[in-house]
Amino acid sequence: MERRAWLGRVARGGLGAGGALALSGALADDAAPERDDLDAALGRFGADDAAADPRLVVDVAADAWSGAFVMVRVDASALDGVRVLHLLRDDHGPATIASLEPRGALPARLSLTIRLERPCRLHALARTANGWVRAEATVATVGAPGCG
Amino acid sequence: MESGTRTDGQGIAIPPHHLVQVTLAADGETLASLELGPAVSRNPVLTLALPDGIAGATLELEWRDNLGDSGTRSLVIDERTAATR
Repeated sequence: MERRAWLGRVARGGLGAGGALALSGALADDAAPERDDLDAALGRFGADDAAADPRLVVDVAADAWSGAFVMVRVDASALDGVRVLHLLRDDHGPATIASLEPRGALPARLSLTIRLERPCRLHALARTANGWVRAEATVATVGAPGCG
Repeated sequence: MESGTRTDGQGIAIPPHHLVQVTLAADGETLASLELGPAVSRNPVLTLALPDGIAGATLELEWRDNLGDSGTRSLVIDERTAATR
């Protein structure tokens, strides 16, 4: 979806209305990664007021031996009715790493390998029928930067 | 997967090249839609937990990258694979 059209839909409160459209445009345009810092991403998702929830877990090693290949697990399967799950990072651009829209009986759980240029916090956001919840984890050291 | 932040030996920026979308379906029914950005690693590992009762289903994976390339792969989940997932 063209970015302007997507922003218009967000402005009309249509984000996460269901189906594939909920994910469309979740990630910022590659040409302007500096515009996708963490705050901008939270605003774009409408998740500024997301509350911390222990049922949402971000699991990552505190010390990454290489920033080029950092394994992260995000688990929202303890939450009911997860419509979309985002993984973000601060202090890097673009902030949004990945977005998952689980359907049917698929558990809201994702593991993936990411790259980090420097220590940062990783943030998970999950949208349920009751609103947004969040969790975070810290990568304290990055051995060899991964050209984030 | 190139993040778009690296330069080559001559200092010229290497353009980004990464997956942007992955869709997983079982017997034609979508199980997951993923959007991915340049922060995903080179040779990425993506893991999803499959639902119960998946044995015998044909999984179809579709991917698309930021350069417009795309592809599909499919496989049948046998009983043993389903039991060890």
